[in-house]
Amino acid sequence: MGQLITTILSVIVLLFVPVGIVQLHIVAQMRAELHELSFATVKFISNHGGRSEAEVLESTRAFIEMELASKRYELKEDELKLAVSRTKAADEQLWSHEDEFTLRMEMPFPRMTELFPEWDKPIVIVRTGTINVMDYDL
Amino acid sequence: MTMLLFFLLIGLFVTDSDLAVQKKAEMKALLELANHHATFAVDQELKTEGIIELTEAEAMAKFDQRMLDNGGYERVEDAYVPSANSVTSAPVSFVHYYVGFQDWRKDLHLFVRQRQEGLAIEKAEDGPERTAGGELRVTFTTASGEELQLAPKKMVGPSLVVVAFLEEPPLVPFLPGHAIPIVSVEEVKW
Repeated sequence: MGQLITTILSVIVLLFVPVGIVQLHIVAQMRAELHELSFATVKFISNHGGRSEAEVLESTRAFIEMELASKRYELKEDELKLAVSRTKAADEQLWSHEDEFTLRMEMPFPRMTELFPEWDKPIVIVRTGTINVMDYDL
Repeated sequence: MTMLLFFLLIGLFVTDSDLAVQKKAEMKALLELANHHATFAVDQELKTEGIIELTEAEAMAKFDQRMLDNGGYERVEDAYVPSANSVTSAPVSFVHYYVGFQDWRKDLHLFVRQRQEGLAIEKAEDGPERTAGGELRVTFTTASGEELQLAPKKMVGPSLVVVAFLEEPPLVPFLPGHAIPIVSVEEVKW
């Protein structure tokens, strides 16, 4: 009886531990990718600004698309939720010098197994940046 | 069973160094974003006279603000203390150095040492002048006396330099810890 329990326990451990490790690894990797991508995006917005919110959003989307295509990311664009909003503005329309903005990126939890339902939370990254473009450059 | 444990051990090693690399990258990003914001603190009065200078106190206040916004780090004396959702778990000590309007074309070699009470700049050596802007070198000495050379950086204008030191405990107690110095240089924005 004792032997049977030991066998069952070791099989469970043998199964759970590697699956858990792989799952954790995938999450860590996705998080790192999202960190990297959001950093690059904040820098992009900082250095380009825009003439209106719509223009900023459009160029940001184009930039992310390019980044995802050119680098070997596991991230998928259709899973990525993006929001950009200004927190400090000098002009109604222009996104220019010293304006501040926040960028919010969200992706669903990269689930590979149903074994750990309590981990299942979307990955969210919020970053704040400052724009470094003059009005006359836009 | 022994084989399994052996593989787990290797896995731990790999994951541990993997995480350290990620933490370094993220800390670098945080410092760069904070420094970017900090360098907007231009002295408005001098600017009207055509001189671009940074107001250091205001710049560091802006730096602190962005470390808090983006990374959840709170400034306590000469260190950034992480919160629960920060990428690192140990306080990050740092020191800043401003390269002014007169000096940014000269090469600069900073010698930073880790002391009990935090980081300190021991020596700042000027080098020859270059028209395109000076090169910044940083030599970092840890508390145990180990000397680390950081990759050289270019200055393209009056710049704010921040050197931070990341000391992270390892994933599991029997592995060695990680000690990573990071430097960020940003030119003053005007």
